[in-house]
Amino acid sequence: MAGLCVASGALVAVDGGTTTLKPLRGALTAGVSPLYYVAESPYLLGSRLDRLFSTHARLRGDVERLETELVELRRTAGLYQGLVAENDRLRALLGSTESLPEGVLVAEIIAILPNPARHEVVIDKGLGDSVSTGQAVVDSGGLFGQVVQSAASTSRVLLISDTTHAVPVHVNRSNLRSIAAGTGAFDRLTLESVPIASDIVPGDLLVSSGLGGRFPFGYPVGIVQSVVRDPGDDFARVEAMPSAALDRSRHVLVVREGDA
Amino acid sequence: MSPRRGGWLIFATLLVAMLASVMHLPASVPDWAGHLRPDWIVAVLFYWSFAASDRTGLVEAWLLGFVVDVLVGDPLGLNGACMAGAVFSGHVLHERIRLYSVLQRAGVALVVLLLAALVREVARVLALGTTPSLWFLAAPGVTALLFPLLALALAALRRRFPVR
Repeated sequence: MAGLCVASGALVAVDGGTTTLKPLRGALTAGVSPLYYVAESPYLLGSRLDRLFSTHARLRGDVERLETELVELRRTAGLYQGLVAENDRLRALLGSTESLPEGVLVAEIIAILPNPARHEVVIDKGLGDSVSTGQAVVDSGGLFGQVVQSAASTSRVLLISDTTHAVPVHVNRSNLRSIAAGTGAFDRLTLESVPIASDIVPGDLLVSSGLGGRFPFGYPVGIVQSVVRDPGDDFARVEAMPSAALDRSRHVLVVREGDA
Repeated sequence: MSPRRGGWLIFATLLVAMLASVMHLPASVPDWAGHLRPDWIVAVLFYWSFAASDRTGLVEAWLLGFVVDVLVGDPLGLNGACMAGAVFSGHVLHERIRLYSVLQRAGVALVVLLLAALVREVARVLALGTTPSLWFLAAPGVTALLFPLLALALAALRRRFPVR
């Protein structure tokens, strides 16, 4: 028993501090992935049945809503294409490099890790789909998290709301740079080291700044909810609401920089 | 946990316990409810370790811990130590526990579960950098409350499919 405990202690220390055991963990994850599907099956079955028994009227309503949304999105996409072209021309004039094209891969969340103190999910794409550690994950609202470990056909994604996670951001309006750290609550991020006199107000949009090289530039991260300036403190206390539906999304996109 | 003579039943119940441990809660359930999720794996293993003490092994439990580690995203080796600890306590105390009443058994289970939860919490804070909180005390309490029912169900299974 004592021997096993010592072995465990050593393994935990090695696995917590280094990446030596990553291959072993990857192989084991590939083996246990089917368990995630089995555990998720009630939900998968539920949505299947829901689709099977949905009424004609509801489907028509859905189609109408989606069509309106599509028209709006087409219009925005048209504007966006123009802006991208203009941006590239301006960048060429300034002599700076063009931004890399990004490819995305749609993935489905197949499991949510059971420990509420940690915000991690498992998605159904892995090394086989060239998803690798460090890639950014977004949903339709904004930045969702990053891949922290990938096995053959599944990957683990750390959410931006996890207490150990932080994203470099800037305020879209004033270009103020900061770091958005997770708080362990799905609906709250805090901004670190924001000087008390900085230009930031509730309602400001935070977008990923691309600094640090891990997250691509320009994805919405959150909306500032409150700014508390206590004259006794050096820094303002800023809280933001994540743009992504961290606890509701089923489908997410893995962003792969450099392949369009 | 050899597959002959009913060892498969122990394995099957552990598999179900693992599924119950990773199955996520519906979105309508509040966030904190996740802290109350019973520690099925250690509870089931502890039951087998005293009810069928010669059919459970320390090393097997420890190795199975790796699967649990990967499943719930803990550092490798952590759940192995907790599970081997539960089996060890079951082995040492099995003659006594078999004479105990239902409530006394739940009490012993509570102590084992609390120790496992404490080890897990400390290791998570040290190795993963999670914020320490006292919530880890909730799950062992819930599990101990459910332990009599769990033991009853497992005992019924054992009578149906003899383990020995």
